[in-house]
Amino acid sequence: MKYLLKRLLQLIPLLLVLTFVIFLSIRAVPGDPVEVMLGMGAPENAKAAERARLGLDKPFIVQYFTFLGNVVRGDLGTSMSTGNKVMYEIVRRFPNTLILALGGTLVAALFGIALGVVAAVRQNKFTDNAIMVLSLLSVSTPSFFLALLLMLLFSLYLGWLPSIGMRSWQHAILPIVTLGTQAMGMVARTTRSSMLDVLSQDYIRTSRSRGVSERVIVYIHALKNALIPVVTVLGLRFGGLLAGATLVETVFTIPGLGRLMVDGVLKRDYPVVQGTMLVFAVSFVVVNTVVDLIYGMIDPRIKYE
Amino acid sequence: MKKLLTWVLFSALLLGLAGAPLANAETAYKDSFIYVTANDQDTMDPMWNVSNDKVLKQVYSSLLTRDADGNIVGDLATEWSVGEDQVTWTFKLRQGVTFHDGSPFDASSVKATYDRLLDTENPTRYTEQTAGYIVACNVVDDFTIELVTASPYGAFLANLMGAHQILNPKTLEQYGEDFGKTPESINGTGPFKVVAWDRDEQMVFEAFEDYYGGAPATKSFTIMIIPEANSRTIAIETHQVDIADGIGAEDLVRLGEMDGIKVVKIKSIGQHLLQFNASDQSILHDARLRQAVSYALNRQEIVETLYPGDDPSTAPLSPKTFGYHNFGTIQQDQEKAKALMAEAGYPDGFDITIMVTPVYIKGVEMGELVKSQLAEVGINVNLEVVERAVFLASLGGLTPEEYKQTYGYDMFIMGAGPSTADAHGGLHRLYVTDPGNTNTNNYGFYSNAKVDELLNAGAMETDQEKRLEIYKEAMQILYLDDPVGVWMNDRYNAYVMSDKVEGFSAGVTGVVYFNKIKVAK
Repeated sequence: MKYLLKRLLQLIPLLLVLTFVIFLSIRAVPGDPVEVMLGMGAPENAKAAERARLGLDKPFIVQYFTFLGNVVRGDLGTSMSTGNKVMYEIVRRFPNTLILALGGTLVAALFGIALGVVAAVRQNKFTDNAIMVLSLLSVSTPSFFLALLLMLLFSLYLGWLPSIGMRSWQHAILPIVTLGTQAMGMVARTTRSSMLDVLSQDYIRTSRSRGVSERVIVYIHALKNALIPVVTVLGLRFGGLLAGATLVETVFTIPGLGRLMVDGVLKRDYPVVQGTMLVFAVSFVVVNTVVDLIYGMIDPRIKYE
Repeated sequence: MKKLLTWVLFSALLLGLAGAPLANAETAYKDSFIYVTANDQDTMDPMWNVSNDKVLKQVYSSLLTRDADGNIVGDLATEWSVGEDQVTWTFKLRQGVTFHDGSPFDASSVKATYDRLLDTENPTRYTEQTAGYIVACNVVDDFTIELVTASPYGAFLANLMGAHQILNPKTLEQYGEDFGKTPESINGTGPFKVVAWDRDEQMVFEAFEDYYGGAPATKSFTIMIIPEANSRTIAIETHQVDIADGIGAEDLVRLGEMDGIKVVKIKSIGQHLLQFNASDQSILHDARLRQAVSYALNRQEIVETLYPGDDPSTAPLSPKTFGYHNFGTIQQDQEKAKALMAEAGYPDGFDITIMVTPVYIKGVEMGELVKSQLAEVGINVNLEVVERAVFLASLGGLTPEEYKQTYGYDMFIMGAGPSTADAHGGLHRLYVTDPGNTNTNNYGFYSNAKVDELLNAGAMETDQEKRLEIYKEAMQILYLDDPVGVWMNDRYNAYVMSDKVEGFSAGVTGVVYFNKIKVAK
């Protein structure tokens, strides 16, 4: 509990630095929201009026502290391009992102761990090599490309699954499979090497000599101890997915946080970029903390004071 | 009695049998359909909208509009005429028209609209432009209005579209700054009402049964936003949607041959060009070097490679724009290009920087082809690829010196096409010498006294035949003698749809007539 509190308190300076960097960097790139909104040939007086309305005519530091003050009050500001509250835009998209992140991580965990264990048990045999080639393929296939392939196969040729939007559970299948497949390889490789490491330990040899069945050794004794690096990989992946899977969201036309932020950057919609980055940072830290807590559950030797 | 009953039943059976084929022959139509496009509207406030007319026209009406053939026809005005002074235009307004919220349309709506558009104290996106030629809007009676121009103005009628959609005074007042941003704040007299709008996802429209032009053919439709081109193609191929636009040229050919799908291509007012930086801060200030670049390029090759099916341009305007004259496509002539370079003092070639952006379809690829073709005559191109926000930031408010310092482009890609479909809109704002010498409107700092004189004359002249002559003379200079840019291709708007779609039509400016569309079940 104390540990959790400490972690959350550590978040405050991190967020302060982060907000400042984001605030500065998005304004440092050429182009501003008014130029993007009013397009080519917009008269200077209209641009000035728009800048004043959005408060962009105020000094940088004033804008920054106004933003900070609003954040403290729980207000992430208003999108310059849509006029909607940034919080509303985020909340509206969050369920989609959560479904993709959970689904993708789950698929990666189930298949990745299973394949990794099998590969470790059959080390240097054909099955192991086949699984490692598969993992390499899965890690190195760009999600964009994989998504299009799956769309071609399951939507166009077979006609089984829809390819656009997120309106039913069927819509979630292809994007989740895309994300899961991508992470699966990494998980399989990590599981394999970690398993090999554990399987060569003395206590495993002892168990074997005591006549414990191989199945129990692999799935109960070894796997549990091999899971720590795997959980780390999965945690990082999940945290990353909570920040949106921009390419997959774009290909499958799913309104998620990744697309929101990229659209925000392209439109120079400062409040949207600031708001989404803040949410990403917080969720990443939260996920990491949870992963740390899971370590303790897997290995009771790990304790936080 | 029994006999009678038998007869009745028998005849009913016969009638039923006879009726059955008839009922089958009548096609059943869907209650709604889905249209897919790449980008959402920025706002549904016509005076701030820079997206396009495609969606605005579903909801709003203006005094005048263009029909599918490009002719100017009455919309909310039924008759119009100009007084002897050539500056006072009188419009008779359509009676019995209502807004979506049921309130009546009359001269006060027009007055409120123009008061807002012309308010230089609180300018909108289009105020400066409009206040430049309209000086007053006067109510004559409930259904007659006068618009007064600063001077005789030849392109006047063509301008009364776009930002000039007639708004509801009450709605304007009620929503203020938020006008046009939510479905409730969108209140027009057009064929459809907006009932839902999820930004960057979809916009849902419902038929406005009291539309003065008659109730739309289908009860509702959705415009869905799919930013990724391949995803749009798959969506239409799998019939998850009914109509799609913005499909790449290579897919159009393939889709056109598929069963169950048809492609409608409509030549638009749009063109692609590479514009020159003609300021004294660029090497291309010298017209001979601009001509050299122009002659060094093989437009047919570029267009055939990147935009199969499109036509190489033949003038600084598309054939669909009033004022067009066919000068023919400029043919590649490398010897002539080299001679011009030698004459200008660069016999061994020179270096330029060209900016391109993927905002325009195949924009980057166009830059690459141009680079390789120019290399053949010794012009060395440094290609810079930028994203939309940088592209937009580079166009506007800069002096040639500032432009050189920040960007330093000698040429840049441009998509042009006047939403008014008139030469004035297509040429005047872009190529007349800018009084402040900035690139707010005249992106390439172009300046030619003769062109200024002609384009100003074309604006004032009200005899449309004479205007054609004036623009021909101006375009001779812009296109050939002192070129503004290299025009590549005249663009088509292509629409891919299920073959069950009936009644599809679209105008040269990209307006789709959604109210005529029906989709068979």
